Amino acid sequence: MAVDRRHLLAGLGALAASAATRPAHAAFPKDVQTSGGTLTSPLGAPNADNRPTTRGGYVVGGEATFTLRNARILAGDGTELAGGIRVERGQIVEVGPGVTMGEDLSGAVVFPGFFDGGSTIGLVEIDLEAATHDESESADGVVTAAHIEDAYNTESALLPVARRQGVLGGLVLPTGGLVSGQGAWMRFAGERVSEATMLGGAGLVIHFGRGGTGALPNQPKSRMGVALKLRELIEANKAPDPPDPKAKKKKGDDDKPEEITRTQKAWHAVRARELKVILEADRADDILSAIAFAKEFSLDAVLGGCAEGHLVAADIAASGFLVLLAPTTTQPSDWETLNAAYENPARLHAAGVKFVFRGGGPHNLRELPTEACIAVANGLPFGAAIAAACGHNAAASWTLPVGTLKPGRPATLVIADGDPLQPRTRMRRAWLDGREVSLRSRQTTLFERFRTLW
Amino acid sequence: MPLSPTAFAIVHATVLTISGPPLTDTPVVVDAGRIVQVGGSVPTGINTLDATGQFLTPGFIDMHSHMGVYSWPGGNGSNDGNEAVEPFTPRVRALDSFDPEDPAIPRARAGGITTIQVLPGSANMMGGQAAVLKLRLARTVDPMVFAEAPRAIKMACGENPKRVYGSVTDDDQVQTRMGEIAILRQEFLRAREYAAARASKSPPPQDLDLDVIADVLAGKVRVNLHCYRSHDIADWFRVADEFGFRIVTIHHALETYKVRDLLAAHGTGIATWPDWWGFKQEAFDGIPEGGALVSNAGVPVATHSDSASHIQRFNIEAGKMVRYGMTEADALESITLDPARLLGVDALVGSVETGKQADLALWDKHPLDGTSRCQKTWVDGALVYDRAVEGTPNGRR
Repeated sequence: MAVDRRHLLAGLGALAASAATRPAHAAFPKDVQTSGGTLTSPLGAPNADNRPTTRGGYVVGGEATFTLRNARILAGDGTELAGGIRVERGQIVEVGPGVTMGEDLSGAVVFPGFFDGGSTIGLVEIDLEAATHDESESADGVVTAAHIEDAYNTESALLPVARRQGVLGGLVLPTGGLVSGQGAWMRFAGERVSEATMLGGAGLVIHFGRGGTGALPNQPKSRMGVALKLRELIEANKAPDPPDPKAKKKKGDDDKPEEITRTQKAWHAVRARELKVILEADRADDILSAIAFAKEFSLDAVLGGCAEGHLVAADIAASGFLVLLAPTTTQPSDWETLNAAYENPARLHAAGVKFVFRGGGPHNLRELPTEACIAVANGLPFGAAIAAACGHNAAASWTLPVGTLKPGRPATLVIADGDPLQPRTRMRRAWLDGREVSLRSRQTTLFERFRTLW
Repeated sequence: MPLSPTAFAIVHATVLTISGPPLTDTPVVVDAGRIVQVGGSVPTGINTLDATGQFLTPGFIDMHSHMGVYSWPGGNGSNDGNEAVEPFTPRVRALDSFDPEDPAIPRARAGGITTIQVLPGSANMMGGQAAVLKLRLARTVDPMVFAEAPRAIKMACGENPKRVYGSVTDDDQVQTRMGEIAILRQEFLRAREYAAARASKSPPPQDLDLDVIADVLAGKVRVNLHCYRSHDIADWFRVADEFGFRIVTIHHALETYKVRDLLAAHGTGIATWPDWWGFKQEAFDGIPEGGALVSNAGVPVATHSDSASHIQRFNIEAGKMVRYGMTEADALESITLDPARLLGVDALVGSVETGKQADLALWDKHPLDGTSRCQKTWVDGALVYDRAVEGTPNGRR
């Protein structure tokens, strides 16, 4: 392409001469191509992978059977072992030093994949395009019976981007209002929502602190109102007593049971501990308020956020509640998180709190391993970080087939070049519930289109 | 020349010089704010710091920061980055908003950052003058100014200006990209006339806006252009060619990989993230290999943060550049020497070389290891962060 360079010579003097010249130096040879630069293999094997895939992102071929040897295996529960892994018809049948056959991984890492503790992936495509948003119903500030599965877009371009860094699934949560609706554990693959759903009705999202306040009709305006409104909602929706079999029917009684709305049913399930509550709180006193609320009404709770959790770590530990941990990178950037600290995960772990990492915004859930890496840099033991990043710790609260490499489990695993938490590490291949998933994405397609300029 | 009493040496570290290959077990001698010796034998009688097993790098340079103009905690009281009163406000300066008490600043020092370019926001097409600062310990901004750095301006195109001004129904100024280009040309035409008049025997009254744009035309002010899309980039190069000014750095630059030949031909560099994308339409084609593709076309690539949080973990941001195809050397250069080049201060900072200003960071592990942490940071030879004393800076102001 002919480009007019005259402007470079016209009157810019020393500025033009000094600014962007990039001296070549022998120590760091640059792979400069006249075509505008090409890369030989930035993606490793997945990029060269031209195998056909289903619309849901699985490699065509069904349940996988394969054997890998000479790997560093991170089992997901915090333990680590050398050896291999054998998978038959989508099931793990053997893990560890006994596996000496199969493809030689030369010390590459096998781990159970990353599972995220809460995002809006699948519910939003582009932040500044209102037409792509489905994460917040917020009709009147209290939305109880709405389910994210009714909005989840299995075709979202964000899902393969997360997958490519080994993030294979996660909790998808609605946002907005005081009570946002019900989240679900989702696989980040699958053509239909039914195929992608691991566990629906995973919890009712409730916001403490300023997050619960706002301008909607049923939304409180202050923390006082949050506490009052939530108590009123719970008390107004006490589950009806079971019918008394001894009670005699009087003539003329209507045989039909009293009409119960979906909203009432959801609250009844909350009160009966059949539906969890996910209590979002970051400020230390809001975390304590959330714990007190859950204890007062004997709710089955998990905590979300907890940026200041390290200040009340003993209280969280005593509650026994799992924490869906705000990104380590949460900073004292707003009034809810003035005491955010890098040591938050390490201190919670030391206090005995179990947690699951959140990667953050839906576009960069691939940051989940980075969050865990930063926690390790700041004192969290590596094994604990793996357990918190791979969904292992979620197993106590939800029955999910993820988070552990052991015989009898569905093959959900990822092969990584090295330590999967490290920023330089790339993922090679991944399987989800026994089927291989593609690591290609809209981004790898764009890369291929422009890797050589035409 | 004899060393002063405050001279010191960092000994036994692996020195990642950036300008050359890594040097193992190599002393670096600092005196009077400068690096006076790299390698050789340590002069007798000066203080030494034993850094066995540690890694010494130049201080990191983030050429896209809003620290101090959006101080933490965020809110109405500290929103001082966008003078969104009209699309062209070259008269305003980030320096005049800058709050040196922003609690993000000590955290950036704890991440090995020593130089930042503080930019006004991107609501305006010409949002104001940048402040290139060194993270010296200071109670006011004046002692932090990087006095040798050339003047610089923030410009922006694409979605932001038209979103900010397109929604003002009774005073519409910019609705579309074509509208942006039209008023861009109009402002530069005015500035060209003003520059001629300013040089004449009867100069017009001083105009704070046109003064700056005239200096852009004269090549005295470096243009930092916030721009995502390849077609916007082509449009802006067309206008720059018409008026003979140079876009020194395209910021964010998520689609520059599509037109990297145009950047190479125009001598334009980029400042970008390793992996942010998708937050608006013009950011939807961002790919994480973008930085590596542009770098391999011979274009300077600075990793930038645009975030008071990510600036604290610049080593990890550079590490991700390696994941997506950059060499480790280029990734380290993207947080040191390449931003120094684009700011016009590469003769002074950005590498560990004799004669350069002693802006240094000491790491317990190789800095591209995500579990490494900066232990000490020096600016002009003065210790501005010491993990052994301060730990991790936490909490509020």
